[in-house]
Amino acid sequence: MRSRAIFGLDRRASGSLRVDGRSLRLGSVRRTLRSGVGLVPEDRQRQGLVLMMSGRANFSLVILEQLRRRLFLDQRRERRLAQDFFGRLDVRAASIEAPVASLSGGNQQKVVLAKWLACRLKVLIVDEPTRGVDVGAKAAIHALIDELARAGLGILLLSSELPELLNLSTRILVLRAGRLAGELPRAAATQENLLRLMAGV
Amino acid sequence: MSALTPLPPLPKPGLGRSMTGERVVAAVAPLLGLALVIALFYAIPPHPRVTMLDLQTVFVHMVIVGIVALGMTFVIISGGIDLSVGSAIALASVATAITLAGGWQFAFLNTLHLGWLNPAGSVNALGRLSPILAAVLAALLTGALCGFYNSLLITVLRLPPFIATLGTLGFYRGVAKWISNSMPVSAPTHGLEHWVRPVPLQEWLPLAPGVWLMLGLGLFLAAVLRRTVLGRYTFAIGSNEATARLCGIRVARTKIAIYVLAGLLTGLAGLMQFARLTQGDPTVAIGVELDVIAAVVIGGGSLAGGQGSMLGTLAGAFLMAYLRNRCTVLGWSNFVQEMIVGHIIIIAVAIDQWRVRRTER
Repeated sequence: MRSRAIFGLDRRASGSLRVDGRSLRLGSVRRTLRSGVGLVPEDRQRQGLVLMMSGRANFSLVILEQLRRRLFLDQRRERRLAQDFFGRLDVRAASIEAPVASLSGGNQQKVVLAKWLACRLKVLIVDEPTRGVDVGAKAAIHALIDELARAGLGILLLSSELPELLNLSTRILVLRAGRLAGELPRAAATQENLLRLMAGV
Repeated sequence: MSALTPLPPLPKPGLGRSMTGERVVAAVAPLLGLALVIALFYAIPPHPRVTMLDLQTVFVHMVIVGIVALGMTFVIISGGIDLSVGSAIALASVATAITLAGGWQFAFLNTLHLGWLNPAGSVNALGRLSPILAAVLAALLTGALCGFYNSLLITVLRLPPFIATLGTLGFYRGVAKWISNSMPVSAPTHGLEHWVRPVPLQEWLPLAPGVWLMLGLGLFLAAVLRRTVLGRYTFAIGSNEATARLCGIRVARTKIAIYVLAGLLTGLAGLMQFARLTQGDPTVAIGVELDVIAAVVIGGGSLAGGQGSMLGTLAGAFLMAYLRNRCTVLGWSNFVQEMIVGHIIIIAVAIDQWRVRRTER
Protein backbone atom coordinates (compact mmCIF):
# COMPACT_ATOMS: atom_id res chain seq x y z
CA MET A 1 0.00 0.00 0.00
CA ARG A 2 2.78 2.41 0.98
CA SER A 3 4.70 1.76 -2.19
CA ARG A 4 1.56 2.21 -4.28
CA ALA A 5 1.08 5.67 -2.78
CA ILE A 6 4.60 6.72 -3.68
CA PHE A 7 4.23 5.30 -7.13
CA GLY A 8 1.20 7.41 -7.85
CA LEU A 9 -1.51 4.80 -7.82
CA ASP A 10 -3.23 5.99 -4.68
CA ARG A 11 -4.87 9.32 -5.41
CA ARG A 12 -5.87 9.90 -1.80
CA ALA A 13 -2.24 9.96 -0.65
CA SER A 14 -0.85 13.29 0.48
CA GLY A 15 2.69 14.56 0.99
CA SER A 16 5.48 15.42 -1.38
CA LEU A 17 8.14 13.51 -3.25
CA ARG A 18 11.37 14.62 -4.83
CA VAL A 19 13.52 12.72 -7.29
CA ASP A 20 17.01 14.13 -7.84
CA GLY A 21 15.90 17.33 -6.12
CA ARG A 22 13.03 17.84 -8.51
CA SER A 23 9.59 17.48 -7.01
CA LEU A 24 7.30 14.89 -8.51
CA ARG A 25 3.59 15.41 -8.78
CA LEU A 26 1.70 12.38 -7.55
CA GLY A 27 -1.24 10.70 -9.22
CA SER A 28 0.14 9.37 -12.48
CA VAL A 29 2.05 6.16 -13.00
CA ARG A 30 3.42 7.35 -16.31
CA ARG A 31 4.78 10.57 -14.80
CA THR A 32 6.47 8.61 -12.03
CA LEU A 33 7.97 6.24 -14.60
CA ARG A 34 9.22 9.11 -16.73
CA SER A 35 11.03 10.61 -13.76
CA GLY A 36 12.92 7.34 -13.40
CA VAL A 37 11.16 5.53 -10.57
CA GLY A 38 10.18 1.88 -10.89
CA LEU A 39 8.22 -0.35 -8.55
CA VAL A 40 8.62 -4.00 -7.64
CA PRO A 41 5.28 -4.46 -5.89
CA GLU A 42 4.58 -6.53 -2.85
CA ASP A 43 2.08 -8.81 -4.57
CA ARG A 44 4.02 -9.85 -7.65
CA GLN A 45 1.39 -12.30 -8.91
CA ARG A 46 -1.38 -9.74 -8.92
CA GLN A 47 0.55 -6.52 -9.62
CA GLY A 48 4.01 -7.39 -10.81
CA LEU A 49 3.40 -9.93 -13.53
CA VAL A 50 0.94 -11.02 -16.16
CA LEU A 51 1.03 -14.69 -15.25
CA MET A 52 -0.40 -16.06 -18.50
CA MET A 53 2.17 -14.26 -20.65
CA SER A 54 5.68 -15.44 -21.41
CA GLY A 55 8.76 -14.25 -19.57
CA ARG A 56 9.76 -12.32 -22.68
CA ALA A 57 6.41 -10.49 -22.95
CA ASN A 58 6.45 -9.63 -19.24
CA PHE A 59 10.00 -8.39 -19.48
CA SER A 60 9.30 -6.03 -22.38
CA LEU A 61 5.97 -4.65 -21.15
CA VAL A 62 7.46 -1.34 -19.95
CA ILE A 63 9.80 -0.80 -22.90
CA LEU A 64 7.41 -1.87 -25.68
CA GLU A 65 7.01 1.63 -27.08
CA GLN A 66 10.79 1.85 -27.49
CA LEU A 67 10.88 -1.52 -29.25
CA ARG A 68 8.43 -0.37 -31.90
CA ARG A 69 9.67 0.15 -35.42
CA ARG A 70 6.91 1.80 -37.41
CA LEU A 71 3.83 -0.36 -36.83
CA PHE A 72 5.41 -3.59 -35.65
CA LEU A 73 7.66 -4.54 -32.77
CA ASP A 74 11.30 -5.39 -33.32
CA GLN A 75 10.91 -8.88 -31.95
CA ARG A 76 14.47 -9.90 -32.66
CA ARG A 77 15.75 -7.07 -30.48
CA GLU A 78 13.16 -7.88 -27.86
CA ARG A 79 14.28 -11.52 -27.73
CA ARG A 80 17.94 -10.52 -27.58
CA LEU A 81 17.34 -8.09 -24.72
CA ALA A 82 15.22 -10.60 -22.81
CA GLN A 83 17.84 -13.32 -23.15
CA ASP A 84 20.58 -10.93 -22.14
CA PHE A 85 18.80 -9.74 -18.98
CA PHE A 86 17.49 -13.17 -18.01
CA GLY A 87 21.04 -14.46 -18.38
CA ARG A 88 22.52 -11.70 -16.23
CA LEU A 89 19.93 -12.13 -13.50
CA ASP A 90 20.20 -15.90 -13.81
CA VAL A 91 16.47 -16.46 -14.34
CA ARG A 92 15.92 -20.20 -14.35
CA ALA A 93 13.22 -20.93 -16.92
CA ALA A 94 12.70 -23.52 -19.63
CA SER A 95 13.00 -20.62 -22.09
CA ILE A 96 12.14 -16.95 -22.35
CA GLU A 97 8.90 -18.13 -23.98
CA ALA A 98 7.70 -20.10 -20.95
CA PRO A 99 4.68 -18.53 -19.21
CA VAL A 100 5.83 -16.88 -15.97
CA ALA A 101 3.11 -18.81 -14.13
CA SER A 102 5.34 -21.86 -14.56
CA LEU A 103 8.34 -20.26 -12.81
CA SER A 104 9.24 -20.50 -9.12
CA GLY A 105 8.57 -17.50 -6.85
CA GLY A 106 12.21 -16.42 -6.88
CA ASN A 107 12.49 -16.58 -10.65
CA GLN A 108 9.21 -14.70 -11.01
CA GLN A 109 10.65 -11.95 -8.82
CA LYS A 110 13.76 -11.85 -11.01
CA VAL A 111 11.57 -11.36 -14.07
CA VAL A 112 9.95 -8.35 -12.36
CA LEU A 113 13.41 -6.97 -11.55
CA ALA A 114 14.62 -7.56 -15.10
CA LYS A 115 11.60 -5.69 -16.45
CA TRP A 116 12.51 -2.57 -14.47
CA LEU A 117 16.24 -2.78 -15.08
CA ALA A 118 15.63 -2.67 -18.82
CA CYS A 119 14.45 0.94 -18.56
CA ARG A 120 16.68 3.76 -17.42
CA LEU A 121 15.87 4.08 -13.75
CA LYS A 122 17.20 6.29 -11.00
CA VAL A 123 15.21 4.79 -8.16
CA LEU A 124 13.71 1.35 -7.73
CA ILE A 125 11.12 0.86 -5.02
CA VAL A 126 11.32 -2.72 -3.85
CA ASP A 127 8.40 -3.80 -1.67
CA GLU A 128 8.85 -7.03 0.30
CA PRO A 129 11.04 -8.54 -2.41
CA THR A 130 11.55 -11.92 -0.78
CA ARG A 131 8.06 -12.73 0.39
CA GLY A 132 7.19 -16.25 -0.72
CA VAL A 133 10.64 -16.90 -2.14
CA ASP A 134 12.70 -19.97 -1.21
CA VAL A 135 15.98 -19.60 0.72
CA GLY A 136 18.36 -19.98 -2.21
CA ALA A 137 16.57 -17.46 -4.39
CA LYS A 138 16.28 -15.13 -1.41
CA ALA A 139 20.07 -14.91 -1.15
CA ALA A 140 20.31 -14.39 -4.90
CA ILE A 141 17.80 -11.54 -4.81
CA HIS A 142 19.61 -9.93 -1.88
CA ALA A 143 22.92 -10.16 -3.74
CA LEU A 144 21.29 -8.65 -6.80
CA ILE A 145 19.81 -5.71 -4.88
CA ASP A 146 23.21 -5.10 -3.29
CA GLU A 147 24.91 -5.17 -6.66
CA LEU A 148 22.41 -2.74 -8.16
CA ALA A 149 22.90 -0.32 -5.28
CA ARG A 150 26.67 -0.51 -5.77
CA ALA A 151 26.19 0.21 -9.45
CA GLY A 152 24.53 3.51 -8.53
CA LEU A 153 20.83 2.71 -8.57
CA GLY A 154 18.86 4.22 -5.71
CA ILE A 155 17.01 1.48 -3.89
CA LEU A 156 14.09 2.10 -1.59
CA LEU A 157 13.51 -1.17 0.22
CA LEU A 158 10.28 -1.72 2.12
CA SER A 159 10.39 -4.75 4.31
CA SER A 160 9.11 -6.22 7.53
CA GLU A 161 12.00 -8.65 7.83
CA LEU A 162 14.65 -7.24 10.15
CA PRO A 163 17.64 -9.28 8.89
CA GLU A 164 16.85 -8.20 5.34
CA LEU A 165 16.82 -4.53 6.36
CA LEU A 166 19.93 -4.78 8.51
CA ASN A 167 21.94 -6.53 5.81
CA LEU A 168 20.97 -4.39 2.85
CA SER A 169 20.37 -0.85 4.09
CA THR A 170 22.65 2.14 4.48
CA ARG A 171 19.88 4.06 6.19
CA ILE A 172 16.74 2.74 7.85
CA LEU A 173 13.61 4.80 8.41
CA VAL A 174 11.08 3.32 10.80
CA LEU A 175 7.41 3.99 10.28
CA ARG A 176 4.98 3.40 13.10
CA ALA A 177 1.24 3.77 12.54
CA GLY A 178 1.92 5.73 9.36
CA ARG A 179 4.31 8.24 10.97
CA LEU A 180 8.07 8.49 10.92
CA ALA A 181 9.29 7.08 14.23
CA GLY A 182 12.99 7.55 13.67
CA GLU A 183 16.00 7.14 11.45
CA LEU A 184 19.00 4.87 11.92
CA PRO A 185 22.28 5.24 10.04
CA ARG A 186 24.11 2.03 9.23
CA ALA A 187 26.43 2.32 12.23
CA ALA A 188 23.54 2.49 14.67
CA ALA A 189 21.43 -0.11 12.91
CA THR A 190 21.19 -2.97 15.31
CA GLN A 191 18.27 -5.26 15.91
CA GLU A 192 17.83 -3.79 19.37
CA ASN A 193 17.70 -0.17 18.20
CA LEU A 194 15.30 -1.08 15.43
CA LEU A 195 12.95 -2.93 17.72
CA ARG A 196 13.00 -0.04 20.15
CA LEU A 197 11.94 2.42 17.45
CA MET A 198 9.30 0.03 16.18
CA ALA A 199 7.82 -0.46 19.63
CA GLY A 200 8.10 3.23 20.47
CA VAL A 201 9.87 2.91 23.82
CA MET B 1 20.24 0.06 -18.50
CA SER B 2 23.20 2.13 -17.41
CA ALA B 3 22.78 0.89 -13.87
CA LEU B 4 23.48 -2.61 -15.01
CA THR B 5 26.68 -2.13 -16.95
CA PRO B 6 29.01 -3.16 -14.12
CA LEU B 7 27.33 -6.56 -13.98
CA PRO B 8 29.37 -9.15 -15.83
CA PRO B 9 27.47 -10.40 -18.83
CA LEU B 10 26.70 -14.06 -18.43
CA PRO B 11 25.23 -15.32 -21.66
CA LYS B 12 23.24 -18.43 -20.95
CA PRO B 13 22.84 -21.04 -23.61
CA GLY B 14 19.59 -22.94 -23.66
CA LEU B 15 17.35 -19.91 -23.40
CA GLY B 16 16.39 -20.16 -27.05
CA ARG B 17 12.99 -20.22 -28.67
CA SER B 18 11.23 -23.42 -27.98
CA MET B 19 7.67 -24.53 -27.75
CA THR B 20 6.88 -26.88 -24.94
CA GLY B 21 4.52 -29.75 -25.65
CA GLU B 22 1.81 -28.11 -23.61
CA ARG B 23 1.85 -24.99 -25.78
CA VAL B 24 1.56 -27.06 -28.94
CA VAL B 25 -1.48 -28.83 -27.48
CA ALA B 26 -3.00 -25.49 -26.46
CA ALA B 27 -2.54 -24.14 -29.99
CA VAL B 28 -3.95 -27.19 -31.75
CA ALA B 29 -6.79 -28.05 -29.34
CA PRO B 30 -9.40 -25.64 -30.77
CA LEU B 31 -8.71 -26.85 -34.30
CA LEU B 32 -9.08 -30.46 -33.17
CA GLY B 33 -12.44 -29.69 -31.60
CA LEU B 34 -13.43 -27.97 -34.82
CA ALA B 35 -12.51 -30.99 -36.94
CA LEU B 36 -14.41 -33.21 -34.53
CA VAL B 37 -17.63 -31.17 -34.71
CA ILE B 38 -17.43 -30.94 -38.49
CA ALA B 39 -16.89 -34.70 -38.73
CA LEU B 40 -19.80 -35.28 -36.34
CA PHE B 41 -22.18 -33.21 -38.43
CA TYR B 42 -20.90 -34.66 -41.64
CA ALA B 43 -21.54 -38.17 -40.28
CA ILE B 44 -25.30 -37.54 -40.34
CA PRO B 45 -26.66 -38.87 -43.66
CA PRO B 46 -27.31 -38.00 -46.46
CA HIS B 47 -23.88 -37.31 -47.93
CA PRO B 48 -24.17 -35.30 -51.10
CA ARG B 49 -20.89 -34.83 -52.89
CA VAL B 50 -19.14 -31.67 -51.66
CA THR B 51 -18.88 -29.32 -54.59
CA MET B 52 -16.84 -26.19 -55.11
CA LEU B 53 -20.10 -24.25 -54.92
CA ASP B 54 -20.84 -25.65 -51.44
CA LEU B 55 -17.48 -24.44 -50.21
CA GLN B 56 -17.90 -21.06 -51.88
CA THR B 57 -21.33 -20.73 -50.27
CA VAL B 58 -20.11 -21.56 -46.77
CA PHE B 59 -17.27 -19.06 -47.11
CA VAL B 60 -19.60 -16.30 -48.29
CA HIS B 61 -21.96 -17.01 -45.43
CA MET B 62 -19.19 -16.66 -42.90
CA VAL B 63 -18.09 -13.21 -44.12
CA ILE B 64 -20.28 -11.06 -41.86
CA VAL B 65 -19.80 -13.11 -38.69
CA GLY B 66 -16.11 -13.59 -39.55
CA ILE B 67 -15.28 -9.89 -39.98
CA VAL B 68 -17.10 -8.90 -36.79
CA ALA B 69 -15.47 -11.78 -34.92
CA LEU B 70 -12.00 -10.45 -35.81
CA GLY B 71 -12.78 -7.28 -33.87
CA MET B 72 -14.55 -9.21 -31.13
CA THR B 73 -11.34 -11.20 -30.63
CA PHE B 74 -9.55 -8.01 -29.56
CA VAL B 75 -12.45 -7.06 -27.29
CA ILE B 76 -12.66 -10.49 -25.64
CA ILE B 77 -8.88 -10.78 -25.17
CA SER B 78 -8.95 -7.38 -23.42
CA GLY B 79 -11.44 -8.87 -20.97
CA GLY B 80 -14.49 -7.15 -22.47
CA ILE B 81 -17.47 -8.14 -24.57
CA ASP B 82 -19.60 -6.40 -27.19
CA LEU B 83 -23.24 -7.43 -27.37
CA SER B 84 -24.24 -4.52 -29.61
CA VAL B 85 -22.66 -5.80 -32.85
CA GLY B 86 -25.89 -7.10 -34.40
CA SER B 87 -27.60 -3.72 -34.00
CA ALA B 88 -24.47 -1.89 -35.15
CA ILE B 89 -24.40 -4.02 -38.32
CA ALA B 90 -28.01 -3.06 -39.04
CA LEU B 91 -27.27 0.62 -38.36
CA ALA B 92 -24.20 0.59 -40.60
CA SER B 93 -26.10 -1.16 -43.40
CA VAL B 94 -28.88 1.44 -43.21
CA ALA B 95 -26.30 4.26 -43.19
CA THR B 96 -24.66 2.71 -46.27
CA ALA B 97 -27.99 2.49 -48.07
CA ILE B 98 -28.95 6.09 -47.25
CA THR B 99 -25.54 7.28 -48.45
CA LEU B 100 -25.85 5.38 -51.72
CA ALA B 101 -29.39 6.66 -52.16
CA GLY B 102 -27.80 10.10 -51.90
CA GLY B 103 -30.12 11.41 -49.27
CA TRP B 104 -28.19 11.89 -46.07
CA GLN B 105 -29.05 15.48 -45.46
CA PHE B 106 -32.51 14.92 -46.71
CA ALA B 107 -33.18 11.89 -44.57
CA PHE B 108 -31.96 13.65 -41.48
CA LEU B 109 -33.77 16.89 -42.10
CA ASN B 110 -36.94 14.99 -42.89
CA THR B 111 -36.89 13.01 -39.70
CA LEU B 112 -36.45 16.25 -37.80
CA HIS B 113 -39.34 17.74 -39.81
CA LEU B 114 -36.92 20.27 -41.24
CA GLY B 115 -37.13 19.10 -44.86
CA TRP B 116 -37.83 22.66 -46.00
CA LEU B 117 -34.28 23.59 -44.92
CA ASN B 118 -32.81 21.44 -47.70
CA PRO B 119 -32.11 23.83 -50.57
CA ALA B 120 -33.01 22.38 -53.92
CA GLY B 121 -30.08 20.83 -55.71
CA SER B 122 -27.68 20.98 -52.76
CA VAL B 123 -24.95 18.43 -53.17
CA ASN B 124 -24.50 15.67 -50.66
CA ALA B 125 -20.96 15.99 -49.32
CA LEU B 126 -20.26 12.25 -49.60
CA GLY B 127 -22.08 12.02 -52.91
CA ARG B 128 -19.28 13.81 -54.71
CA LEU B 129 -16.94 10.89 -54.05
CA SER B 130 -17.13 7.68 -56.00
CA PRO B 131 -20.29 5.98 -54.73
CA ILE B 132 -18.48 2.86 -53.51
CA LEU B 133 -15.90 4.90 -51.62
CA ALA B 134 -18.71 6.93 -50.08
CA ALA B 135 -20.49 3.73 -49.05
CA VAL B 136 -17.34 2.29 -47.48
CA LEU B 137 -16.67 5.54 -45.61
CA ALA B 138 -20.26 5.75 -44.34
CA ALA B 139 -20.16 2.15 -43.10
CA LEU B 140 -16.76 2.49 -41.41
CA LEU B 141 -17.64 5.82 -39.83
CA THR B 142 -20.91 4.49 -38.44
CA GLY B 143 -19.19 1.42 -37.03
CA ALA B 144 -16.36 3.45 -35.53
CA LEU B 145 -18.83 5.81 -33.85
CA CYS B 146 -20.71 2.86 -32.36
CA GLY B 147 -17.45 1.41 -31.03
CA PHE B 148 -16.37 4.79 -29.69
CA TYR B 149 -19.64 5.28 -27.84
CA ASN B 150 -19.36 1.80 -26.33
CA SER B 151 -15.80 2.56 -25.19
CA LEU B 152 -16.83 5.85 -23.58
CA LEU B 153 -19.53 4.10 -21.57
CA ILE B 154 -16.96 1.54 -20.45
CA THR B 155 -14.05 3.86 -19.66
CA VAL B 156 -15.70 7.12 -18.58
CA LEU B 157 -18.86 5.84 -16.91
CA ARG B 158 -16.97 2.68 -15.88
CA LEU B 159 -19.87 0.41 -16.78
CA PRO B 160 -19.17 -3.29 -17.15
CA PRO B 161 -18.89 -3.96 -20.92
CA PHE B 162 -21.72 -6.48 -20.70
CA ILE B 163 -24.16 -3.84 -19.40
CA ALA B 164 -22.88 -0.96 -21.56
CA THR B 165 -23.23 -2.91 -24.79
CA LEU B 166 -26.53 -4.46 -23.73
CA GLY B 167 -27.80 -0.89 -23.54
CA THR B 168 -26.34 0.14 -26.89
CA LEU B 169 -27.75 -3.05 -28.42
CA GLY B 170 -31.12 -1.44 -27.95
CA PHE B 171 -29.94 2.07 -28.74
CA TYR B 172 -28.27 1.34 -32.11
CA ARG B 173 -31.28 -0.71 -33.24
CA GLY B 174 -33.48 2.24 -32.37
CA VAL B 175 -31.28 4.68 -34.29
CA ALA B 176 -31.32 2.35 -37.31
CA LYS B 177 -35.11 2.31 -37.28
CA TRP B 178 -35.26 6.07 -36.74
CA ILE B 179 -33.10 7.10 -39.68
CA SER B 180 -34.80 4.57 -41.97
CA ASN B 181 -38.35 5.27 -40.78
CA SER B 182 -38.43 1.55 -39.81
CA MET B 183 -38.46 0.58 -43.48
CA PRO B 184 -35.79 -1.16 -45.54
CA VAL B 185 -33.89 1.48 -47.54
CA SER B 186 -33.31 0.56 -51.17
CA ALA B 187 -30.33 2.03 -52.99
CA PRO B 188 -28.29 1.46 -56.13
CA THR B 189 -25.62 -1.11 -55.26
CA HIS B 190 -22.95 -0.12 -57.83
CA GLY B 191 -21.84 -3.74 -58.04
CA LEU B 192 -21.31 -4.13 -54.29
CA GLU B 193 -23.53 -7.22 -54.29
CA HIS B 194 -20.85 -9.13 -56.18
CA TRP B 195 -18.52 -8.89 -53.21
CA VAL B 196 -20.59 -11.50 -51.40
CA ARG B 197 -21.99 -13.69 -54.16
CA PRO B 198 -20.71 -17.30 -53.83
CA VAL B 199 -19.31 -17.34 -57.39
CA PRO B 200 -17.22 -14.25 -58.05
CA LEU B 201 -17.50 -12.27 -61.28
CA GLN B 202 -13.80 -12.69 -61.91
CA GLU B 203 -13.36 -16.31 -62.97
CA TRP B 204 -9.75 -16.47 -61.79
CA LEU B 205 -10.86 -15.80 -58.20
CA PRO B 206 -11.95 -19.04 -56.55
CA LEU B 207 -13.68 -17.15 -53.70
CA ALA B 208 -15.71 -13.95 -53.58
CA PRO B 209 -13.90 -10.61 -52.97
CA GLY B 210 -15.61 -10.24 -49.59
CA VAL B 211 -14.12 -13.56 -48.50
CA TRP B 212 -10.64 -12.48 -49.58
CA LEU B 213 -11.11 -9.23 -47.72
CA MET B 214 -12.00 -11.15 -44.55
CA LEU B 215 -9.05 -13.53 -44.89
CA GLY B 216 -6.63 -10.69 -45.61
CA LEU B 217 -7.87 -8.70 -42.63
CA GLY B 218 -7.56 -11.85 -40.52
CA LEU B 219 -3.89 -12.27 -41.43
CA PHE B 220 -3.14 -8.58 -40.90
CA LEU B 221 -4.92 -8.45 -37.55
CA ALA B 222 -3.19 -11.64 -36.43
CA ALA B 223 0.08 -9.76 -36.91
CA VAL B 224 -1.32 -6.71 -35.12
CA LEU B 225 -2.36 -8.89 -32.18
CA ARG B 226 1.01 -10.60 -31.78
CA ARG B 227 3.52 -8.04 -32.96
CA THR B 228 2.32 -4.55 -32.14
CA VAL B 229 2.20 -2.50 -28.98
CA LEU B 230 -1.60 -2.41 -29.16
CA GLY B 231 -1.81 -6.20 -29.42
CA ARG B 232 0.50 -6.78 -26.46
CA TYR B 233 -1.32 -4.22 -24.35
CA THR B 234 -4.61 -5.95 -25.22
CA PHE B 235 -3.33 -9.23 -23.81
CA ALA B 236 -1.82 -7.55 -20.74
CA ILE B 237 -5.00 -5.62 -19.87
CA GLY B 238 -7.16 -8.68 -20.39
CA SER B 239 -5.14 -10.97 -18.19
CA ASN B 240 -4.07 -8.55 -15.47
CA GLU B 241 -5.25 -4.96 -15.53
CA ALA B 242 -3.49 -4.06 -12.25
CA THR B 243 -0.09 -5.08 -13.58
CA ALA B 244 -0.78 -3.33 -16.88
CA ARG B 245 -1.51 -0.09 -15.00
CA LEU B 246 1.67 -0.40 -12.93
CA CYS B 247 3.68 -0.82 -16.12
CA GLY B 248 2.51 2.58 -17.30
CA ILE B 249 0.02 1.30 -19.86
CA ARG B 250 -2.75 3.82 -20.50
CA VAL B 251 -5.56 1.35 -19.92
CA ALA B 252 -8.52 3.59 -20.81
CA ARG B 253 -6.92 4.86 -24.00
CA THR B 254 -6.05 1.31 -25.08
CA LYS B 255 -9.62 0.15 -24.44
CA ILE B 256 -10.98 3.02 -26.55
CA ALA B 257 -8.66 1.99 -29.39
CA ILE B 258 -9.80 -1.63 -29.09
CA TYR B 259 -13.52 -0.82 -29.22
CA VAL B 260 -13.08 1.63 -32.09
CA LEU B 261 -11.12 -0.99 -34.05
CA ALA B 262 -13.87 -3.53 -33.36
CA GLY B 263 -16.42 -0.90 -34.44
CA LEU B 264 -14.63 -0.29 -37.74
CA LEU B 265 -14.82 -4.01 -38.48
CA THR B 266 -18.49 -4.12 -37.48
CA GLY B 267 -19.11 -1.21 -39.86
CA LEU B 268 -17.42 -3.13 -42.66
CA ALA B 269 -19.67 -6.09 -41.85
CA GLY B 270 -22.63 -3.71 -42.13
CA LEU B 271 -21.46 -2.86 -45.66
CA MET B 272 -21.35 -6.59 -46.44
CA GLN B 273 -24.84 -6.95 -44.98
CA PHE B 274 -26.07 -4.24 -47.33
CA ALA B 275 -24.32 -5.95 -50.24
CA ARG B 276 -25.99 -9.26 -49.45
CA LEU B 277 -29.53 -7.85 -49.18
CA THR B 278 -28.97 -4.95 -51.65
CA GLN B 279 -30.89 -2.82 -49.18
CA GLY B 280 -30.37 -1.37 -45.74
CA ASP B 281 -32.68 -3.24 -43.40
CA PRO B 282 -32.95 -1.90 -39.82
CA THR B 283 -34.26 -5.25 -38.54
CA VAL B 284 -31.45 -7.39 -39.92
CA ALA B 285 -28.69 -9.23 -38.00
CA ILE B 286 -30.66 -9.80 -34.81
CA GLY B 287 -28.76 -12.24 -32.60
CA VAL B 288 -25.58 -12.16 -34.69
CA GLU B 289 -23.62 -11.41 -31.50
CA LEU B 290 -24.23 -15.01 -30.45
CA ASP B 291 -22.56 -16.45 -33.55
CA VAL B 292 -19.72 -13.94 -33.25
CA ILE B 293 -18.99 -14.64 -29.60
CA ALA B 294 -19.26 -18.37 -30.26
CA ALA B 295 -16.76 -18.07 -33.12
CA VAL B 296 -14.23 -16.33 -30.87
CA VAL B 297 -14.66 -18.77 -27.97
CA ILE B 298 -14.54 -21.83 -30.23
CA GLY B 299 -11.33 -20.38 -31.66
CA GLY B 300 -9.68 -20.39 -28.24
CA GLY B 301 -10.76 -17.00 -26.90
CA SER B 302 -11.51 -16.88 -23.19
CA LEU B 303 -14.34 -14.80 -21.75
CA ALA B 304 -12.09 -14.31 -18.71
CA GLY B 305 -9.75 -12.32 -20.99
CA GLY B 306 -6.11 -12.70 -21.92
CA GLN B 307 -6.55 -15.46 -24.46
CA GLY B 308 -7.55 -15.80 -28.08
CA SER B 309 -6.20 -15.85 -31.61
CA MET B 310 -7.26 -14.49 -34.99
CA LEU B 311 -6.83 -17.72 -36.91
CA GLY B 312 -8.72 -19.63 -34.23
CA THR B 313 -11.53 -17.08 -34.53
CA LEU B 314 -11.69 -17.49 -38.32
CA ALA B 315 -11.83 -21.27 -37.85
CA GLY B 316 -14.65 -20.75 -35.32
CA ALA B 317 -16.55 -18.51 -37.74
CA PHE B 318 -16.13 -21.15 -40.45
CA LEU B 319 -17.56 -23.75 -38.09
CA MET B 320 -20.63 -21.62 -37.37
CA ALA B 321 -21.24 -21.08 -41.10
CA TYR B 322 -20.70 -24.76 -41.83
CA LEU B 323 -23.17 -25.81 -39.13
CA ARG B 324 -25.88 -23.52 -40.47
CA ASN B 325 -25.15 -24.68 -44.01
CA ARG B 326 -25.27 -28.33 -43.01
CA CYS B 327 -28.59 -27.83 -41.20
CA THR B 328 -29.99 -26.35 -44.41
CA VAL B 329 -28.64 -29.22 -46.49
CA LEU B 330 -30.20 -31.69 -44.05
CA GLY B 331 -33.49 -29.86 -44.42
CA TRP B 332 -33.70 -28.94 -40.74
CA SER B 333 -35.85 -25.96 -39.90
CA ASN B 334 -34.52 -22.65 -38.75
CA PHE B 335 -35.60 -23.26 -35.17
CA VAL B 336 -33.44 -26.41 -35.05
CA GLN B 337 -30.46 -24.32 -36.15
CA GLU B 338 -31.17 -21.84 -33.37
CA MET B 339 -31.42 -24.58 -30.78
CA ILE B 340 -28.14 -26.08 -31.94
CA VAL B 341 -26.26 -22.77 -32.16
CA GLY B 342 -27.45 -21.85 -28.66
CA HIS B 343 -25.91 -24.99 -27.29
CA ILE B 344 -22.72 -24.63 -29.28
CA ILE B 345 -22.17 -21.41 -27.31
CA ILE B 346 -23.08 -23.05 -24.01
CA ILE B 347 -20.67 -25.92 -24.66
CA ALA B 348 -17.86 -23.63 -25.87
CA VAL B 349 -18.14 -21.36 -22.84
CA ALA B 350 -18.41 -24.35 -20.49
CA ILE B 351 -15.15 -25.72 -21.90
CA ASP B 352 -13.59 -22.25 -21.56
CA GLN B 353 -14.66 -21.98 -17.89
CA TRP B 354 -13.25 -25.42 -17.21
CA ARG B 355 -9.94 -24.35 -18.80
CA VAL B 356 -9.81 -21.16 -16.71
CA ARG B 357 -10.53 -23.05 -13.48
CA ARG B 358 -7.82 -25.55 -14.31
CA THR B 359 -5.15 -22.90 -14.87
CA GLU B 360 -6.14 -20.96 -11.75
CA ARG B 361 -5.78 -24.00 -9.55
